[in-house]
Amino acid sequence: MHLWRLFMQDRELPQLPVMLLDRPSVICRGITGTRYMSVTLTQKPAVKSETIGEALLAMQGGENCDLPMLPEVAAQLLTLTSEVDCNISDIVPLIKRDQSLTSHLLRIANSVRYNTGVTVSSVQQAVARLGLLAVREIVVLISCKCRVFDVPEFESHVRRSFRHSLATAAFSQEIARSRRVNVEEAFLAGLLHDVGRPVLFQALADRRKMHGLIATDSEVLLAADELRVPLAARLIKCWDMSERIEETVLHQSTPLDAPTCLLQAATLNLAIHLADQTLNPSAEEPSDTAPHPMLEALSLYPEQFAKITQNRNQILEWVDSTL
Amino acid sequence: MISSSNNFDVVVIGSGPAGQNAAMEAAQRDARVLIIEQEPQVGGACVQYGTIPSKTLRETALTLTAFQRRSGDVYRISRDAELSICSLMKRLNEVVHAHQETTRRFLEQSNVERAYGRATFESPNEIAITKVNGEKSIVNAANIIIATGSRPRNPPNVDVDHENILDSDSILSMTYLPRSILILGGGVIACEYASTFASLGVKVTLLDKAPMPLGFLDPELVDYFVMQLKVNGGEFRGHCEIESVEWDGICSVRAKLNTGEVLTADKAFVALGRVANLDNLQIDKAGLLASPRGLLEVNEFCQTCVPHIYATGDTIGPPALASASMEQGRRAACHALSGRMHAGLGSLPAGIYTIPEIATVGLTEQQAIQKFGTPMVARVNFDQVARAHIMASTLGVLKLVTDERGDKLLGVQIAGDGATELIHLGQMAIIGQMSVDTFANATFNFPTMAEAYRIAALEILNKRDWTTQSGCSERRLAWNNSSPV
Repeated sequence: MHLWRLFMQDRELPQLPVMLLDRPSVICRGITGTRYMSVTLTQKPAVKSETIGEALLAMQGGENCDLPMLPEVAAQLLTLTSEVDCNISDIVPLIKRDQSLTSHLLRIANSVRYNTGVTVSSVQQAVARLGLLAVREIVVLISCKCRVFDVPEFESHVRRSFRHSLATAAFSQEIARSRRVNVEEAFLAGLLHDVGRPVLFQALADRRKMHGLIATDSEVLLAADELRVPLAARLIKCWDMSERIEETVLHQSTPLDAPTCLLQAATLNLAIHLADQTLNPSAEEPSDTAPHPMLEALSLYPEQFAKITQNRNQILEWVDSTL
Repeated sequence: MISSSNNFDVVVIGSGPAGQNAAMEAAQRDARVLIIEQEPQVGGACVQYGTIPSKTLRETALTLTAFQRRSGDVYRISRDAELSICSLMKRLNEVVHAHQETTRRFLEQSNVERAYGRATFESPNEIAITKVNGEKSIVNAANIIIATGSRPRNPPNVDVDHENILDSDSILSMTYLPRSILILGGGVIACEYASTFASLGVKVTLLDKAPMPLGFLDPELVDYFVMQLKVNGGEFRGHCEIESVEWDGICSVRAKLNTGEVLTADKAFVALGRVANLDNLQIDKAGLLASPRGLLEVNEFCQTCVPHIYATGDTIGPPALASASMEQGRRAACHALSGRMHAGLGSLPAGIYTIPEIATVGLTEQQAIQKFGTPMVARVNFDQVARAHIMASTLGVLKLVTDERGDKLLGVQIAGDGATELIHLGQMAIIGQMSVDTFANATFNFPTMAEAYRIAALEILNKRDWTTQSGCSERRLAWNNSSPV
């Protein structure tokens, strides 16, 4: 059984975006059938899937999979919330650009405790629905209870994932603006599209410590590559976010197969590509110079696309200022 | 797909209501026709962002509100926060798909060829088509019909981010209903959305410079719209000059008026008119020049100053309604291929899909006064019509405007449920140059809303009789017998 089936036994899934090559990490864009993807390729390990499989089975439900915060974000949040007259206008921007805080806030906002009668699907909607005081209360709760990442062996990968997600969110937002697709959801889908990867790192690192998981770093990396998409979709579902975001994230590599959110998934796919290019300008480029296939799906003409890519430096500055 | 030869009798740029009708009219005249559309699907903004999606949302909203009313409050529809635009719009994909399929089939059956790409003039008879991937091809056209539509006009002092401050292209990308919304503008689009959102429980504030919205309509009809907006918890504020509209960075939009007053809401919707889509066409290469208002000037045949180039729909400005655009498309194609005026000319109706609906055809009372001095006017409130009571839709009015003798029908104005359908009876009467007596003597199904025409016609006849002091009692008898309530 494929590892990802452990997470997604209850639904039909598109084929997972994993390519195995006998060479060390490279970034490459591949197009196979309807799949348009960017993926980090790792050296093919000696598979010990049973061991990892057991660990994955144990965390199958996803309910226990938390997304910890980066230490500097946690510190910043603690500083802000410890002030008596802490200003929500300082906190909201911090929440919006951190996938961990966003996911926690939306999860709590959608919980029975704060039931608003509607699926809260963006930070500004949460603030508008719950009010500033309730959001402040939730944020204080998050700052007290949320874990900080403790994965020294995968720290660089976690940081890369956070950085890439932030850039993807920013590009998704710009593409959505251009195509008049919902901007808030596009941003959120971009921010959370890779959330499965850091969650998996933390969960497997925890099991290493507590249960003596026998798995090499390469195996964990491979598992993260293979499972990050279905796990992200699973987590989004567990966090009671909108089904559209779940579908969009699930079809990030196969956007044309998205049953109801084709434009949103195509937006995310293109944004991932732009984030790759922006954050790894020296990465190996595919030999063909054909335009990205999502340009046609989104009907983005050259000057519209140029407007989006013009924002590259701004987005990079914004990502750097955040992480 | 474009077939082997690149020479066409007619090339239509844009596949919205004007473009489709132009293409089909031309094809029916055995011309070789190409229609160029920059989106993969036919239909233009009308299908993607405009008429079809907004009316689908409105219909759903209307059904929800009417259900409770018409069931005599037996069933209560909760307008709680669970309503999201997405769930209200679930039918939209089906509606859009059905509409696109029908249009595509019609075009195909008419042998209209299609090209997906952006059109630009290379010369007065040559058009370049550039695909999304940059591939370019050139077609030659004996006649060209421009039907590229329009896009929202966004003023420089408002930064429309399509996230918190939206325009009419992005308003339906909202996935949840805001608690409150500021709507800037008093035109058709602003008022239609104001009605829909208010009926869904959103607190709507409609802001406009003018003292009243929909200034081109009979003020009596506009009063019904403003009244219903208020009943649904909305508000119209006239004489408002907006200085700025900004997102506060947290959860609300702030609009500053020139009086210093600041209004806040969850979202803002800017509906301050539209701009013709001429930017990408390079019209100068065809010898055309846009007017200072950014429109193309045309004669009665929709012909521009370059005789073989025609312009239709929103590219030539008001009334900028889908129905008018369709007629303009047909008129342009007809003239291009025959040199004659299209036979379908006549009074064009205007339908405003507010709640309640508003529809008008022919002259308004004010226009008739200006033209004829003292027209006869009859008005029937919907509460005089049995069917309106049955449908629990008694808020509305039908006005008949006739010449001063009370004979010739000059115009019909209606506000109320079903107005946009009901108006067509009046339109046919005007086109057929029928006397008002025809309505008075006709027998309609009972109970129907069409009875309103008969009641109004009898009122005209009564006025006529009172004026001539003859047949008064007979008419009054007829009036009393016809009054069902």
